Amino acid sequence: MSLDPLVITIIEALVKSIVVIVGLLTAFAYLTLVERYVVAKIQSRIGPNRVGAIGPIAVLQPIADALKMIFKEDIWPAQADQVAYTIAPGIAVGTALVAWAVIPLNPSLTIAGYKIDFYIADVNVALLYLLAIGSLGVYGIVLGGWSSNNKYSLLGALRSTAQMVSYEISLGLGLVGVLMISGSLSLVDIVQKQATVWNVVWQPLGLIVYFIAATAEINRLPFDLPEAETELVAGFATEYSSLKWALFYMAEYINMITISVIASTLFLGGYQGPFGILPGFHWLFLKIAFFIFVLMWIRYTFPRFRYDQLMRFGWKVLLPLALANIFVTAIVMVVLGR
Amino acid sequence: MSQIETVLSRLRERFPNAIADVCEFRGDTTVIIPREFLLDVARFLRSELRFEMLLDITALDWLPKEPRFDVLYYLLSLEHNTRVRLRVPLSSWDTNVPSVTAIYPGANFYEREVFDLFGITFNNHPFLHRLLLPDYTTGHPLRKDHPLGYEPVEFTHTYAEIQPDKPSAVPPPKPRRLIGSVGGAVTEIPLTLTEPATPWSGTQSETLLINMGPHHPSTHGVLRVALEVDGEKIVNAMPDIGYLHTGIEKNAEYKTYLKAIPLFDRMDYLGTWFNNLAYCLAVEKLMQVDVPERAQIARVILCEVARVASHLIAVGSQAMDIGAVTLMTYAFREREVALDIFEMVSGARMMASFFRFGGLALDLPAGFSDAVRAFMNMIPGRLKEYEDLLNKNPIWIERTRGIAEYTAEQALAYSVTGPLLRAAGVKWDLRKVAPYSGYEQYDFHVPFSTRAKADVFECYLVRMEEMRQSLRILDQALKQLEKTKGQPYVTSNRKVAPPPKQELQTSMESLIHHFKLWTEGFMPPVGYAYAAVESPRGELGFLVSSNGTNMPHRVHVRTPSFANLQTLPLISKGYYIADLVGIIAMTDIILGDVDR
Repeated sequence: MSLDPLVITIIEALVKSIVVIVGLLTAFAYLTLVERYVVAKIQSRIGPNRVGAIGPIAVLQPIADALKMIFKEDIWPAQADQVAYTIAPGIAVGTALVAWAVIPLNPSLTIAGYKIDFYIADVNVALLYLLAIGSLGVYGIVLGGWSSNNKYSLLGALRSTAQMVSYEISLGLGLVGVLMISGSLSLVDIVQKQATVWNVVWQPLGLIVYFIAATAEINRLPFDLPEAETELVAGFATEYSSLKWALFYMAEYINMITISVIASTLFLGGYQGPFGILPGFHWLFLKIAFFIFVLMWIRYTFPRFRYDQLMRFGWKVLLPLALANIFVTAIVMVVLGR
Repeated sequence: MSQIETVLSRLRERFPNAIADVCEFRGDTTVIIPREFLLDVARFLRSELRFEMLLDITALDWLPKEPRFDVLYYLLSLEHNTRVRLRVPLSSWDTNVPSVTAIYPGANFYEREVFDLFGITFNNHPFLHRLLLPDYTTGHPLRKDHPLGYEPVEFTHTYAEIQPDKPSAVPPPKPRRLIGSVGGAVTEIPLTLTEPATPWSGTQSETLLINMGPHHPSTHGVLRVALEVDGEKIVNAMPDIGYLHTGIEKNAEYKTYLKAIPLFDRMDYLGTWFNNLAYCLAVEKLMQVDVPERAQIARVILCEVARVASHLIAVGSQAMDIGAVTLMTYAFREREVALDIFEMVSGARMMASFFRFGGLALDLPAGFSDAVRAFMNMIPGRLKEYEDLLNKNPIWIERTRGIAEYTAEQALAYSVTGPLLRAAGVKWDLRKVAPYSGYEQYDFHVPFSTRAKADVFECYLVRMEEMRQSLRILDQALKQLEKTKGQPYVTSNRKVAPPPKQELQTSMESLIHHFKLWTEGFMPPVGYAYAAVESPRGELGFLVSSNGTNMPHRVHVRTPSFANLQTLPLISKGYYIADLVGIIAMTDIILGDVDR
């Protein structure tokens, strides 16, 4: 019996999606735990050590957190815009998840004559897709902040919009250098072209600009202005509780993984590892872990920017840097005749 | 001729008819003037005699005597290091005085407080409304004839308590006054202090009104700030206080002098030792008690440890408010060691209540010096760590440098004391200018800013340096403490301090003293005495007034946070919401200290 190839493709995509989503949700859950340990270490505290502790590690802590979140009362502000208030967390998490459709996680394998690709879709404009999806994510925050009918939330949403506008450009321009070198928008191609030399060797500035802009894009300290708990209580999430609140955090953590995986893919060769030791996915995992650790490290070291300083930094520092990077790359490429 | 005599003679010369009397008691000079001359005298004192700062305004109620009220103005001349108190007697049927806010802007909160608690009206005050109590309160609780209320009981077996016709002093709760909302609701509180009360109109203006607090993560307790913002820029910020008002001053009037000590712990809960010390100093001044050297040294050590602990919180929480959360946990980690020392000494980690009139409650425990020395040795390295994290961090500098700028003149006019004043370039520290508890024998510097204007960063630097100077004092004091080993830790004056237990078995007189002290306490002579200490937040002064009974007639506390908070509208205007949390952290207010 042979199946229609279309059906096979659909089933394959479905299975892969489910695997990726489940994987991401698990990763999110344990990322919170990892962050708590990293923070505890940085801040000379102990960290969680009660729930199902194996040695010093509380392995069941994320599950306990999830249960707590689910059973918390879901509070609706009386004057909230019901529709927007409900779908906002969904948008935040949805956009965070669909970005993963185009990311290659491992070299393709051939098992029993059947080729398995470790990506859901090889889109030829994958990079544009990632940027587009990334900017959609801000709608979750803006809608959530606006619909809560709370002044702090509103301010958080406003800040988020302004921040997105300022940093989106640097984010995109930071990646242009990589595109010029690779000559492709497909992530699979970009990874394969880094088999010998990683892009970071040619594009260190691009990586820095991208990473800073991406940190701002996902609202991590020192750019966590939309949330800014000491100023705006909890910013856009002030009125959210229970599972809706958890969804926002899920989006934030998944975005952390996403920007780390993009940085690894575009600049550090994705699943390519030196010397052929270790299978591909391990390399990617290590690179993601490195970036995530840097994100946490930054978060618990720096104070927060102020709104106007953030804008100034975005427009007057990051943007010129990104443009300079493009110019230099172009000139060098012309000189080298590539 | 001493400074105060010069002041008096110049006053007499200028206002031959105004000075009704001059009274000297326990080293404090009080000039009694009728209220017609108050403004002229105050203006003369400020401009001619250089009394730059109005430290305090309070009132005393001498029911049933007439004139019933005394309004007390406490003025300080930094230039001459002189203090003078003006007393304006008021009869019970005419409780009006002119407001001195035009001369001393810092009188604003003080006059509102006196109006609130004594019902004395200050004419021409820009905004004479209740300050500590809600607007719907009836009566003025610090008046001696104010009925003592009780909480309506939920359940009781006593018939008398459930009588429905018994008047309850607690009115049914009403909503606290609202300050506007989007859509044009009207404020009851004007947003500016200087301009006349104009209702805020949301429909016409482009500004947004935000109630920051009383439950907001960065208002350091239950402070509420009514913010008028244009985008994120602050147009007006109006602090609203009283959410933590617990009537400590009133409560103290119904306790013996000794039993009032723990009450004052609850005011400034990060500097409880200073509250204890200032109160003890005031009562000791009233009773003319000498404190043995060992007790004085112990007081200095404990207070300096507490100062370091308090400044750690100030710096740590300020960093947290600006987003550097990690520094807060570091600061709390260090403070933990200080709290361990307090626990070792008194058994309590925060509310120590360890100082007694004439000395200490107990001798210092064994191992105390080592514990303090370990603390002392640990702190400098940790301060270095903070500075590595912050001092050269461009984000930190941008967030603090040039934020909340104010000049020394503004600080003086608004009665600001402590690190905030020193950050404005005024070298003023009570430990140097009016030493108490033997501070004159220690060698330390008073850090102050050399810049023209104070800002958040300057305040941070001053606090960091003050911690280092405190460590220097600790080092010297510990050496002194070693020399006084075995000496008495409390005065031998049996009128205020109980005799040791062994004496009771042999001496009849001791037994009587013990009995008298524990049954009725002691009775200071009629009059009032003021003693102040340099708390981590500024001048913390206690005015203890006695009417000859075993309970204080009135205890008024001049708390530094109260005065410092007044500057908030002035210094936060034009900055951003994000800065406001840093500015509140800079003023380092403790709401227990503000509201009392």
